[in-house]
Amino acid sequence: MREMHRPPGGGPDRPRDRVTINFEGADRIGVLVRHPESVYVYWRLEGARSAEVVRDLGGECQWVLRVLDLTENSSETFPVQPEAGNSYVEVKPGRTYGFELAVTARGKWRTVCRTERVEVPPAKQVPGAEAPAPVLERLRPGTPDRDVPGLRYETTLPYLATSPGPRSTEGG
Amino acid sequence: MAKGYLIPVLHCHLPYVRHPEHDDFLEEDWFYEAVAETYVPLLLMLKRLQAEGSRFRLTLSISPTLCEMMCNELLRARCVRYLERHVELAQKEVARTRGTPFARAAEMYLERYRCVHSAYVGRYERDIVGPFRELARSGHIELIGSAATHALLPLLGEEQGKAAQVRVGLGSFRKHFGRAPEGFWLPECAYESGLEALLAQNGIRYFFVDTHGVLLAEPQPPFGVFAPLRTPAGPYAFGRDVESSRQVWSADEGYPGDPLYREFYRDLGHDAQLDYLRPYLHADGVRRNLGLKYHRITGNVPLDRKEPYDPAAAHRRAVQHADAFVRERAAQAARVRRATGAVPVIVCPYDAELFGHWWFEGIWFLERVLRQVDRTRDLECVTPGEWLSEYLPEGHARQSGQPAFSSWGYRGYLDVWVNGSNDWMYPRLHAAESAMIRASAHFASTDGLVRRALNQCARQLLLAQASDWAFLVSTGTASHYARRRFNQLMDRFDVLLAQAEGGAVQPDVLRQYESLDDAFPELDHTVFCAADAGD
Repeated sequence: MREMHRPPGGGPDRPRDRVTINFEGADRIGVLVRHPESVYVYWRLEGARSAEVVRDLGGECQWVLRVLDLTENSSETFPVQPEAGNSYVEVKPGRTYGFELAVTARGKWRTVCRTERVEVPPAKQVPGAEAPAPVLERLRPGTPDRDVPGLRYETTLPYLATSPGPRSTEGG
Repeated sequence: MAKGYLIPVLHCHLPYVRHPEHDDFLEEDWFYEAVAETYVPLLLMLKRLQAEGSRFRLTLSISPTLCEMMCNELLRARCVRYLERHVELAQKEVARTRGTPFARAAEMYLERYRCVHSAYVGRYERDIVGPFRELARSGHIELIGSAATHALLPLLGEEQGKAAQVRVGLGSFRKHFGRAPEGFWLPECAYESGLEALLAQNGIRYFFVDTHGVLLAEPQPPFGVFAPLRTPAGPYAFGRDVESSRQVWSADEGYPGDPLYREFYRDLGHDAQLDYLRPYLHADGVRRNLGLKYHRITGNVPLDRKEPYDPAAAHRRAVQHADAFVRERAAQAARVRRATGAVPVIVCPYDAELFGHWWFEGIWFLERVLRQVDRTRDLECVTPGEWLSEYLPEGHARQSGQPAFSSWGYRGYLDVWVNGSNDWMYPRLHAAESAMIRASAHFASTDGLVRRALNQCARQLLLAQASDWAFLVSTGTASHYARRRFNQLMDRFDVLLAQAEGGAVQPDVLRQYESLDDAFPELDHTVFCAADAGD
């Protein structure tokens, strides 16, 4: 389990993970870098801290996700629904971020949980660096999923992250 | 000295699908299809080249879950049943198609299924790991390790979780192949900074990344992907070559789309009378692909206007494509040599199941490529381990740097595995991972039922971490099964962890789960709490 109270900008220089999960009781937040311009942030508010903060600030509070750009020393705050549990956040390639879930009310701010530093990779823009764009829609045409109880149509090997499979003018 | 080095790499992987609770299970067919259409034909081809005295080299990754399946007695027995049924069906097909334009294809299928069945049951005695091990001993192939269950390491929550995937994967490799591997296949080539250190701690000398993983390295490497990149922790990163990848992978430009090649999407299972097919379908009687396909791609026409498949013509085309591939690699090597002054390394990694299963003629293509490279003086086929040991000291191009975050998936990153269709998996996976690490440390010296329960928890978690479930949900293929299987694995994890932590392990529940999810029988849960992750 990671250190819980270190400010995102004040930790060691070396980012440890792309996934960071900080626990405060059972309140937790995690972040996954999926692309140089997009991260997935999730949270689960099942602990004492979140309930305590809401009680402390009263009923008119607002949940927010603060995105700290630690490269530029700037931040942005987005209102979130606590029960939503996740958000996709646009980021800039090559920067370091921290993410913080907090509650605000009447000028007061209470942080519930925060991630460690997260490094977002640089964009894929080197001349000639473009890997062949795999054609996702052609990967697994096969027969479609049928969510009919008792009927399962799937059969063929499902795997291959980048294979186009043989080309056909008509998928399955 | 060669004018260029070619490093062909095949990655064999399937998720661990084994359902002893059902007499036959649809998704288990993935394994039997791959055995029949890719793994055994590949083995037979490699053995043929070996017998000819060809000096071919192939780097091969067989994922730990696949190795476990290849060695599982239940799956072996069911695989024999699958092959026997296909031989029987192919025999009927020869009679049914006699005198029609489909006769040659039917005869080809009969010969092929008989050959695969004979090799699997007879020569290999249902063990296809052994023959690969022998090919590695003779130096023709270089086997490399991979993560235990094909987890995307950058998407795991904790360093200890990543280390557990690597260690269990390498332990499985040692069990099956009798030694430690030099190389490592990062699942989906998914790389993040720091993994090279984990691999170095585990004795790994090299791994593979996608093209931009090398081209965007810091500092930018002067030779690009045409020389391996020495990482700060020591292991070398080999980057995928763009040109050779495109020729095989691309749906639009790639060889597999040739009109003479077999049409994958038109299958006997959807064409023939249902009553005729019924003995070869699953108990639900639902039509499905059976692997016997009688049409060629033909061109831009609907499936019902595809023309009959001619195996001989397709074979000739595969030979032409292979010759062109080798010629183009030689020309590419010459271009790079002129530009950089260095003899290039051209790394060509592919999913093995592309060859034979998806691209039916792919094994013929590969055979011809390996044979032709052996004959030409312009190229030399090598393995990464061989190149690092024998050629690096000769003064070839050297470069070092920190590879960039990357994968070989769609768009080059991790979008396929983290999106609105599958992101719900990660909070549960990460919570379980943290709980596993905590429980493993707490009960590290506990024996008896609690230890067995935690070992099984570790098994359930590792199996749930497979990248396949998120992938299948994302692509909509077998997504119903992938969701159900993921939740089943996690539910079993939760039940057993609660029992272990509460000191109330129910032996019958434990036995049931051990029997159902039996991969990595030697697994010790303390792999999750090793003091120095990666030792």
